[in-house]
Amino acid sequence: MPAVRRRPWALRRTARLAILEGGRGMEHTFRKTNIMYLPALALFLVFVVYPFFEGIRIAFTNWNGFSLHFKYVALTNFSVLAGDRNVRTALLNTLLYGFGSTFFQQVLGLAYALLLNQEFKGRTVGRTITYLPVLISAVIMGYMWYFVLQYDGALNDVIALFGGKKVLWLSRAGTAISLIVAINTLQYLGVSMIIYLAGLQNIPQMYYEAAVLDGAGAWRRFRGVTLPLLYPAILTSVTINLIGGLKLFDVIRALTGGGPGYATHSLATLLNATYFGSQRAGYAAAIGVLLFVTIFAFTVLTQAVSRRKEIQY
Amino acid sequence: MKRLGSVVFLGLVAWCLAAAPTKLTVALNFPATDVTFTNIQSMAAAFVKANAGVQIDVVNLPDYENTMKTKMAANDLPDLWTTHGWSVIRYSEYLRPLNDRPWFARINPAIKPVVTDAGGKVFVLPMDVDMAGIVFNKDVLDQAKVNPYAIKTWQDFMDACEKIKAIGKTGVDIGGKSGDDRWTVGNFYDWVAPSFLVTNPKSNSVASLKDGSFDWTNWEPVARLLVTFRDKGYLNPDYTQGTWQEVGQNMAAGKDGFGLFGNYLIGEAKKYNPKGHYGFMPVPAAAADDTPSLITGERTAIGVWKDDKAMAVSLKFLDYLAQPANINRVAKGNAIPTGLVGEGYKTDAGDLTPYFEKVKGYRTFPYFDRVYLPSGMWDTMCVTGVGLLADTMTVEQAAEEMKNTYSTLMAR
Repeated sequence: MPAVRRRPWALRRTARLAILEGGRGMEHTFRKTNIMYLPALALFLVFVVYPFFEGIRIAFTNWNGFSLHFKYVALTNFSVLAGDRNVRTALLNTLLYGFGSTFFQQVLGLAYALLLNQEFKGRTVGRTITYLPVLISAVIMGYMWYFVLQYDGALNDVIALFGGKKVLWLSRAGTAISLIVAINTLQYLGVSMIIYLAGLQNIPQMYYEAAVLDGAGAWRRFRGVTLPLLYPAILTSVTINLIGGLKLFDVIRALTGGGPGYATHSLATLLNATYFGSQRAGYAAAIGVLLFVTIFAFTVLTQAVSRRKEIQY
Repeated sequence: MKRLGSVVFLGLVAWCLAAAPTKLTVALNFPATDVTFTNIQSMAAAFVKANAGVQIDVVNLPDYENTMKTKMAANDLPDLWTTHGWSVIRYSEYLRPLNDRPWFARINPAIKPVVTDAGGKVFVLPMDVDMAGIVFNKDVLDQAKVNPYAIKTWQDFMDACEKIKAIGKTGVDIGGKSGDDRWTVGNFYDWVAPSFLVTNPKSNSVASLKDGSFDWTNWEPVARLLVTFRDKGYLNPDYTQGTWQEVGQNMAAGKDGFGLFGNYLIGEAKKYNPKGHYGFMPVPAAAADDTPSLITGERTAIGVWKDDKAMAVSLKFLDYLAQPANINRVAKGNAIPTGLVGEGYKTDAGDLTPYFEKVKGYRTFPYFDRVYLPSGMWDTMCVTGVGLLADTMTVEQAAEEMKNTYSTLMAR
């Protein structure tokens, strides 16, 4: 019986059908996946993308935040922003809160991670205690510290007990800003600790063994093995903490309200005060644009600088 | 059959909707523990009892002012709400004019100019009239041998504070905490500014404040007085961190002589020491050729949303609140004059009655920021005041800040 020879057009048809079937299969899988993330996409569009563009639009108006009437004022809000002393103060404070907190969170977070990566009794308790402040609402944290630092608070009570004079801790700009950085550091250094712990546990022991064999001491091993191989964790931790620090709001609101005067405002709290307090929603939106650009620029810069030093192993 | 079923179904739905009670929401800026809130709540309960098919929710919105601003932006407002001094400048865009109500002609002349816009429209029922001077603790003043009614100028006031300081007490509790209590410092300006800029018939800045040509270097003496009080030690020791609650507590405990607040400070002090002796005096003048005066404004003023879906019921409830028994009750609770006058309306200020008698005849002026400044400047007043107290800004910088905000808001 002769072999059945398929005509070329039939072969091409078969191949086309096979491709189509395979394509339809892929298309079917693709469509199912699309539908699965539609709700998340919808929420993202409604609560992130739309408000983002709406905020930019409002930045070009003189809207007071509640009136039915407003005018488009072109770049007026941005030109006022460029010369506003209070915005400059808030921008500087934002950078202090962001970079100041981040620096101390990395140093302390890594120190705790190195310590709590050792084998000893109670290290789980230690890790839990270090991480616990992260779980507290930032507003609650701010108010807790307010009750400690206020004029008739716990700290001044202790000072008075030893015969000292009570201090207005939150009335001096420098002291208040330092305290805000300290409280934010204390609250979120647990995040850095967790990230660094994960990073440390992913470093293969053989590198340390090789370093020991080569005669490297503890500091040399830390500098030559631990740090370079921790760069992905450093990048992650710095990015997360920097974004959190740059958009700091709750602690400032609870502790000082941005005062005294405008001295401790961040861009986020100044935006809030300008919108609700001064009823200048258009100008507040312009501050919001500045805040977005600031966070975006520094995040991209941090990522670019850190990526260069990343080591693959 | 299907069509009959649909008709029956639609009929049932219509009947359910018709039978559903009319629900009103009344938003008050007073906390639920405040006497005004409880009074209005019980009035609402009585109205509901007398009007079948009506439900009224009396609510205190958290962070009232900002919540109301958000609701206005969304055009989603309660049926009725209190306007806390801003019925004309801030809320009138969303309120129904009430000139056609039966009680309109009875509005107290003391409050009428304050609640009337340039076109003669009134947007609220004023249930009482805030009549404010400077609150004092009588026991402290007696101990320091200070006669509050002999105080005519701010220099006399500072001399009185010196006497109070000499007996180991604080002259003035200003509160002072930035954040939620910064309004306590803004109050200082609201009390002091008129004496420098408004009350003196021979020399004032009323016209320039209203037409936007005000020279803000004239604000510097007002700001300087605050700094002088601080430097001379007349303020509470925690003058940048004192809270409103502490102002009340200190007044009740006899730690302070004076408070630059309305008579609600007396209500606050009485919570801690109901047996204390408190009174109020007129606000001193800035110059010797001027005389002390009082401040008036809205305290409990209620308006109706212009787009209210239950307009008829809301207006009926508002007219019910305007009845003499209800007006008298709310005014008595705040120990201030009634917002409506005439037959049946009677002011009963309780143990403050002798003080109201003493200040009869003094001129009254509206709250400074509500009439002479654009809406939105209150916050700047508060923030610059706290900044001055904490030395984070100078008097000139504070005046400059006020000028910048003023110019921006006037230009809108």
